[in-house]
Amino acid sequence: MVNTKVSEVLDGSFLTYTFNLLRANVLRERKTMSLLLLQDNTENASVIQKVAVTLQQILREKDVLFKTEHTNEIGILLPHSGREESTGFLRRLQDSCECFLDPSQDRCLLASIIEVFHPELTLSNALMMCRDSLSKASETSGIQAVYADSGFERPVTMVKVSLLEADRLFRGFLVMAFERIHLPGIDLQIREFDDGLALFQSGWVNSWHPHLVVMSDVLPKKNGLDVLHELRAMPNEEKFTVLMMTRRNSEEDMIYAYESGTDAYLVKPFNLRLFEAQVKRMLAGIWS
Amino acid sequence: MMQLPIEWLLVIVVGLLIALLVMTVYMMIGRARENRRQVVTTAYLERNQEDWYDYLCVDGIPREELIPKNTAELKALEELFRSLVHNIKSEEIDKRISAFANRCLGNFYRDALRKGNWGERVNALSRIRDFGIDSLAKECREMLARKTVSKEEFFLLLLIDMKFNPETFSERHIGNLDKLSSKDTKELLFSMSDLLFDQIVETIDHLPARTQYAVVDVIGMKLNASRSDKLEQLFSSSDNELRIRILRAFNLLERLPADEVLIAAIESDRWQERLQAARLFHLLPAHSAVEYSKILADDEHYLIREEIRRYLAQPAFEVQVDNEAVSSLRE
Repeated sequence: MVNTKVSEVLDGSFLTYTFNLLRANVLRERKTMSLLLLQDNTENASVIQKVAVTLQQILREKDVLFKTEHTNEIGILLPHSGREESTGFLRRLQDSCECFLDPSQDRCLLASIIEVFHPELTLSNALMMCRDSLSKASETSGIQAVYADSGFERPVTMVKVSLLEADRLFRGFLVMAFERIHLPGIDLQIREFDDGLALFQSGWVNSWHPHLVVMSDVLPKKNGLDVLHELRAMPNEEKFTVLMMTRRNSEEDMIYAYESGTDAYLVKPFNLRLFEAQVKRMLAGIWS
Repeated sequence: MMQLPIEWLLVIVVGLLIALLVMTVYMMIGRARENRRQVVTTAYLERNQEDWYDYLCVDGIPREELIPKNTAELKALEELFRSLVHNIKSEEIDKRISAFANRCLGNFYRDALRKGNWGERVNALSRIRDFGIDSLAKECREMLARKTVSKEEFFLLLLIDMKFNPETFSERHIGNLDKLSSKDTKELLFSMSDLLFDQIVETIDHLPARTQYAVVDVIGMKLNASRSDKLEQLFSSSDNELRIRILRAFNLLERLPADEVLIAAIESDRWQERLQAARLFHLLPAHSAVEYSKILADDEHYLIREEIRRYLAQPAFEVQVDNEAVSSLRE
């Protein structure tokens, strides 16, 4: 029996419900969740009991501790955490748990990490894959982490791109630069506008999709800063990532733009490769 | 009252109507021509947009289809290059634009330089510089040697010569810079490479006064303190305008000049020099600033007294120095 308060350790159908809920959030927020399965293969599973106590002390409020049908196992769901964060978490766990502090005792615990980002990955499948990976792991001192692969690719995310630039020739070049950016799991839907008013009249901003707005500060009818203020005043403004292109390179202008909500700032004339690198960096942050 | 026969009036009305008709037809033909040119231009750009991107940003291989076949396509190309050089900064792209422009636009601009129309010549000179058409460098030098070029052409020709022949620019044109307006001289100096600008700074003692002013202003604007030694040397000049500009440059650089320069400025009989010196006080250690402030606290000029008063009123200043000395100065 694991020495934890029952109310804090999930199991059964409520665990499945919680897993499905968190997985739905993963897809909506595009933030990976990790499932960690800890397995104690010692004779009376003494290590896992001590680890469970430590886990209760170090887990964040949004993390979920659960037990499985096997008494020598304990699982954790870590929302907003990928493989690296989970590995770091295990390292912290090992440093915090007193049963690993004395090296002469040679305590060992196996841990499997699987990233959850696909809607078809169920809890039972994830646990099965973890156990499968654990069966191939070798036992050494401390927490031995292995990684399980779900076999799924990240679901393709449609990202809207709006290009606001008054110079049609330069705009055309930027569109072509975008069309040649290929990132796994990201489907870019590009539309170009010659001013800010056309963007809002098109209705292109009215959807939940992540939206990258690349715009010049000087535009006819509605300029870049007006567009920025309007986007940031929208209720779901966090979906917008804004890259401002400008000829103004004074510190005051930059400070004002950043304070108004721009995410990045490029001073014209700029290197097209720098532009592509910035865009790729921004798109890479779509999934975290 | 003057009497005019009705036949004459009819003739005038008919004449005006015919003139109006001719003008209308002329404008319609002009408009149709412009529309046709626009159609050809747009078609050329749309047809070749991908190929242009590939040539300039990817492989650098110019396809035959990119070569413009008529004036409308040449104009389209000019428009495209102009847009790119103003928005994109890349040595690779600049080289490719220059190579293509030398090949396909060189003759077009050579003809434009020979035309009597001033606007066309200035436009051609701007494009030669923007697109790096060095095959026309010789023509531009010949044009520069003529005495009939306008101020605008002269300025553009200097920029072109600076771009294509930077190594000889200083010795060839150093004495001619005072023919430019103050704004143009500063723009020229500002767009120079650091190496060339340093050459100009080294010879500043021999430059005409107007050029000296511009050089000193640009040293301040460039915010590069490495030339402050030269500024200090120049301060021994008897030219008050130059001395004021030197002090203003030190203010822009946020750097203190040598003590003798600062003291000379504080004791100057020109209030502008004393004002610029007072504006440098915030860079001094607090105790020195108080000592100098004593000299200028009762200055005859209101702006200087106000500058000192504003400086002494800073809250941060209060904690650094003896309150009694500051209070007496504030009074």
